[in-house]
Amino acid sequence: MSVSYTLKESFAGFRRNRAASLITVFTVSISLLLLGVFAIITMNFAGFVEQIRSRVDLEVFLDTDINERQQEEMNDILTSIPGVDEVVFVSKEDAAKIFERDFGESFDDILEDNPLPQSFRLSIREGYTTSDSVAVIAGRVEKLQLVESVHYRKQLLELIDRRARAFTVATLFIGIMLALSAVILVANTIRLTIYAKRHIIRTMKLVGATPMFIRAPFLIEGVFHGMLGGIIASLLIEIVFSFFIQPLSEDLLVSIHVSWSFYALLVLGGCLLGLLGSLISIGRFLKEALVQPN
Amino acid sequence: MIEFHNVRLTFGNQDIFDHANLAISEGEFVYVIGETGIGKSSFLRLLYMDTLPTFGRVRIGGYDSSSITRHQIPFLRRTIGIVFQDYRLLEDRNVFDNVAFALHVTGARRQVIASKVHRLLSEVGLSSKEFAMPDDLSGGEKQRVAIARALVNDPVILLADEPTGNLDPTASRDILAIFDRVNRRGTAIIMATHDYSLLAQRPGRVIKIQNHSFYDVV
Repeated sequence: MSVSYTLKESFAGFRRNRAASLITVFTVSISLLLLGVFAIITMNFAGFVEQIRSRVDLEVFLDTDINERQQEEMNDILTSIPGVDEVVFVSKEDAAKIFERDFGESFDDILEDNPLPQSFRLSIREGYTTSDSVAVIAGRVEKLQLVESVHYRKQLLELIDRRARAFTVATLFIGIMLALSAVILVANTIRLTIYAKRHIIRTMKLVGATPMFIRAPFLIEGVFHGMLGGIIASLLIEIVFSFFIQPLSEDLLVSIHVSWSFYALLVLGGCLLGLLGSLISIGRFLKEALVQPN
Repeated sequence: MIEFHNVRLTFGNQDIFDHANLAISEGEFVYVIGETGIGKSSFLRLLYMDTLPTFGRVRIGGYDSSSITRHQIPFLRRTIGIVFQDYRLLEDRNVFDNVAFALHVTGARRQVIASKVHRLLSEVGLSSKEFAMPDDLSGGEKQRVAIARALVNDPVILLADEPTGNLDPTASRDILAIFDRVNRRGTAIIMATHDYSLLAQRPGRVIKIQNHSFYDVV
């Protein structure tokens, strides 16, 4: 079998059946576009959840005022706790400024003395921001000497955990359904285009073409259709994200990005869809009835 | 060259052949006649092994229906030229590419393909139509393209299933004249037909299919 003839036939197939080829490319593009957008949303949701979690700090209030040496010792102890990322000391004066910023009133106007306690603000390292992990860190901090209480947004973290679990299950289900639909849709479209050529395939068999000789151009054509579909889907996603989603994500202070490897994966997925669709569809037209007719 | 040994062929509950025996030698010119639906096309299909006998054996050249594998069928068909009533051209490519296809499947080189296709098209009188698409040809021209394709691999047997069924008398005479020339070079012609006027134009062996078997008509 001549490789150059097979390649020539593959591309000639595109030219000979422009309408059917365009429909196949369009179907692959739409399928991959849906799948791609869904994958991006799913992947970025995990990052989005992590961003919200990372904003949850632990506030550690002290039961008595401490001096600079004690502050350094406390800082070292807190930093050594697994999961603690950054430790910031909040003096009584800093606390008063925060109060004034949040409530618009100064203590000096109401009270003679500043009643706010000294505290430490702990940020949590990535990977330790689930409600369970934060509860463990808070428990360890609470047991330390000089610590009166530990505050963090426990209910918010628990809510995020519950929602994230539900979202993972839902996206897994929808993702499988979408991928399945894409395969069925593309395979069906290719099947229809090959069905339209069934008489040609039969003639080829009668002239003495081997199944591989007939199949090869269809497979290459399928890969080519899939690749084009993948490229179009990637371009559409890039346009939508560059012009609409990215500015929006900047406004919402949420980072949403699509990497080049994702686009490469999408094009590869298109090639695979085209190849599988052609392979499945052409098989039934190539079978020789090597059985008795009755 | 062709042998049927006790061949039985059934489709559903219908017997097409039953204990049918036949032998055809190299270079014969054979007409296969019989009523419509009697099994003329099925007889040809058994020869190019598009169907296999329910019982018995069909031998053609070195191939035997009882032992042939899927892999061998394309190679059997390359030794046979087949012409159909409805031409069965590859509608998506031109005359040259239709004829060339039969050579491409054998892995022939480009120069060999070009020279053989030009020779065959000249032989069937279609040199000026090599770039025409099948849709632009008359019935007679389409059938001549199909004949050129069937002959391009120098087959030892040419099977023709009602080749003049869709053609007017002049086109039919042209087709018969081509078959005659091919037969004189040693290729066996086996033509299923119900056009008995051809038998008078070009005498040959006549096999009639009747009562699920073959009978020589003298």
